[in-house]
Amino acid sequence: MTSVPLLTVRGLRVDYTTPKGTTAALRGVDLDVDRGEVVAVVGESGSGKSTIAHALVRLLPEEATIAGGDIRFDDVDVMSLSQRALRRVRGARIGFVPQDPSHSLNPVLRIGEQIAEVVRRHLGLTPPAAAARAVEILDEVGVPDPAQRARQYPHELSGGLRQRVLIGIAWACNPELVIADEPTSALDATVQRHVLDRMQAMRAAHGTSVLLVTHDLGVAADRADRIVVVNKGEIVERGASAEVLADPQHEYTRRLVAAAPGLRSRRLEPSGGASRAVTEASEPFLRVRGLSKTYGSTGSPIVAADDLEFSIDRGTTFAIVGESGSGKSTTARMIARIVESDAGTITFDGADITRLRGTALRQLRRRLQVVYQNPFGSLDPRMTIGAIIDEPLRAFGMGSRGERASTVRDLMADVRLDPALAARRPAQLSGGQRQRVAIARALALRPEMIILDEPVSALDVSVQEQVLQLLVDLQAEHALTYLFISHDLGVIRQISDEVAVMRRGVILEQGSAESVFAAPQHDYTRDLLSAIPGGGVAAG
Amino acid sequence: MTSPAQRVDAMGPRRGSVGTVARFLLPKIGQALFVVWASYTVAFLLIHALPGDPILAALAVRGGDATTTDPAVLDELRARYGLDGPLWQQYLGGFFGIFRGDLGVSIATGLPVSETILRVAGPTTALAGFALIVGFLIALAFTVWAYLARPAWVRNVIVQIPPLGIAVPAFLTGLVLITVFSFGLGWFPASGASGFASVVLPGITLALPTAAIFFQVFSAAVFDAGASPFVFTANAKGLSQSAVVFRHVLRNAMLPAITIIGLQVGYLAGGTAVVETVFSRDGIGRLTVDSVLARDINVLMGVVIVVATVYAVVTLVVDALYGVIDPRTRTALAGAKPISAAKEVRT
Repeated sequence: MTSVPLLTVRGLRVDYTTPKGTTAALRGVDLDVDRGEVVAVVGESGSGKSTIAHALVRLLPEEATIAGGDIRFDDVDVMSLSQRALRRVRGARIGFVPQDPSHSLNPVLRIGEQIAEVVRRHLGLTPPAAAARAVEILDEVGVPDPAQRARQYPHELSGGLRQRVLIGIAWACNPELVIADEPTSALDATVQRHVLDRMQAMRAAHGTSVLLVTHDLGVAADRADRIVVVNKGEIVERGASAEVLADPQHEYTRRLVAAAPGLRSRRLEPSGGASRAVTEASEPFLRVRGLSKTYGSTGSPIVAADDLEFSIDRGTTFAIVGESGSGKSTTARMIARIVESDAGTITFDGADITRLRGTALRQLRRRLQVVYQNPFGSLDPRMTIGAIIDEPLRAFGMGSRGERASTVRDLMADVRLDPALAARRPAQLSGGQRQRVAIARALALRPEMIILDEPVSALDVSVQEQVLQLLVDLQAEHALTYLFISHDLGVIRQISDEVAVMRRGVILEQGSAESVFAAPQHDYTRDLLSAIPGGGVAAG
Repeated sequence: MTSPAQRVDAMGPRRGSVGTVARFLLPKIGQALFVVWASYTVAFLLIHALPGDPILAALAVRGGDATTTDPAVLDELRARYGLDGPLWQQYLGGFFGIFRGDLGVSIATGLPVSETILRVAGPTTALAGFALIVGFLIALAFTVWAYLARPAWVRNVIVQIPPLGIAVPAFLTGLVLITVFSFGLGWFPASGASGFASVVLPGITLALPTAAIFFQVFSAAVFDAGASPFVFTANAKGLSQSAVVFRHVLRNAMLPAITIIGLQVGYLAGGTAVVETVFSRDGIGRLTVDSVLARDINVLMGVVIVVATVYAVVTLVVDALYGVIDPRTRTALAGAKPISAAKEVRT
């Protein structure tokens, strides 16, 4: 390794200017990347980690300005380069893998052309030579049938394939440094692993340095030589990956390591010593038999659920794990009676609810509630928090105005929200607080069962952990039964008693959480388990 | 390598395409027919809801209020202009006449309406076409300028300029242009419809409001596309500024913008009335004004039908083009199954 690092950042400061004033996104960041080294920048949303990535190639949004600092790339002063000269460095010497594969490719240009234009620009290839090179690059990043794919448009490719195309673009001109900004956060776990493997292979083959920006400590631990932890625009900890994870020095890093679901392996227990009341009943609380659903009438029908069979005991958590398109959400919605099933029966507390209508269905809603994934979309932005939690109470005419107000206060205390927030609106709350509001609203009618559809996947890991702990506590306090839907086995491990693994509408395997995690029967389950990032690192 | 599966894939779209294209186009053709029928019906009802007899009114315009007419002559005139018989007969007769290209006979001149309109269609088409192209280019130039302008306040100023094009009335712009470029500099003729030079001033007059409308849609689409992740990718690739703007931003922004060409043509057909009057040009707009003044309802109906048909056809063509230009619609039309195809290679 040479003595001079490939990339040196000193005292980098970036400010965001909005009509409301100026906020500092980065407050003096120092960072070195050596040749051939993989450095991970880890932090939660709002930490400034993506701002670092964008500032390095001076591609910040308009409201952001670099307020100070030094960026030297192979002894080129990036800060003083003209835009024109900078455009010769980007793509040629510094590649960039963006975050969101579904929107990061031009929808009206063919895949091959989007790669070819980079090599034409920087390597000066003729159009036919560039087109041929594009096919080779597609092959190198593991896109099957590269010649045929090169003629396709982005919407004809899956997310994983699109991300490979973007990796191909980043490496097209054999750059010395590739910056990858959350390259896999929008992908399923198994696809994520393949994409990261591909990046690692490209790095090894070309000797490229990589700056990997990620929120996932597990990914960082698996893939990086060194880790840099960012919090509130400052680097709070840095060191070799294994050391940082095994012995985090800063309090923030310790919290991140403790919360990372992939890095630990136990079910959360109710805090405060309360024990879970699992009543030994002969009859399961919810039973699903032969449940089926097919979307699309003619042409290519998509089977979302095929003859599903499972049952959930009262007071326990049943988890369905699957990747996108597995049918897990459709299953949850059929049980919640939001989507009609094609065939099969759903028995809830001994009563058949498959075809309930009108008043009976409305009464079921009091006993069976749903919490959705997106805490931004599922709360009306114009209502106050108090009104949102009060709404189900009002809809069912539960008590006078004064009684309801005190119930809302109790519910907010239940989900550990400050009752003073009742007058706020959703936009003024953090993601974790919003999800607590959604849970409080679901609890308002004192249901016996709650369906949780990816309730924590939009949240940062440290917040995830708090919300999961809350769910476990509430389950113990109110003897709740959960149907928990998630793509994340790490999260599932923390909350479930029983687990079912779904793929393409079929349950491949189900059993107690311990048995599924300790001795998976199906290849696909093993695949999912090994795809959990951070698996190679012993839990600290 | 070519596996059998790929060959099937390549064949697939061809086999299914006729049906899918028909399913895509038939409703749009239906919509086009509906527009023509509805315009005809509304215009018919409005004209016949006006008090007074159209023939008498036309004769009165021609001969003064005191004109007296023999009832027999009147009946004969009514039959000649297709205004005899009960209303529903006139309504149906007129409607089916459209499909034979028969729009009746002008009350004012006695010439067939179709011939009258055809005669003025050429100058109007030249004028509207010129205005459409110039308006499009002005809007494009302003949009690119605004998109590249820094800092933000400069852009905000630029964005405010094009709406002036619609705020200033056409007769005012027309008079100013005539004063400066015709009487002042003598570059272009102030009136008439002969040669390209005569199109320029009225064309620019019409192009200004056209550009203003194009700009509203364009700039929204361009700023939208400009903020999208794929433009970030294009910049991160190190492409030149012009490649980013033209290949990535504009190509995507064009898609929503072309949908309003139909509306623009509709506007131009009406907008020519003022401009053709100011510049004393023969054209559809002036014909409309003249026929209103002469109470020539047959020509009026003819104009309504022709304009509605042009609008419907342009909209239809633009819709069909949209299907060809946007690869996403094109795949859907070709009947390919991108999702299932992509899934197979995923694992």
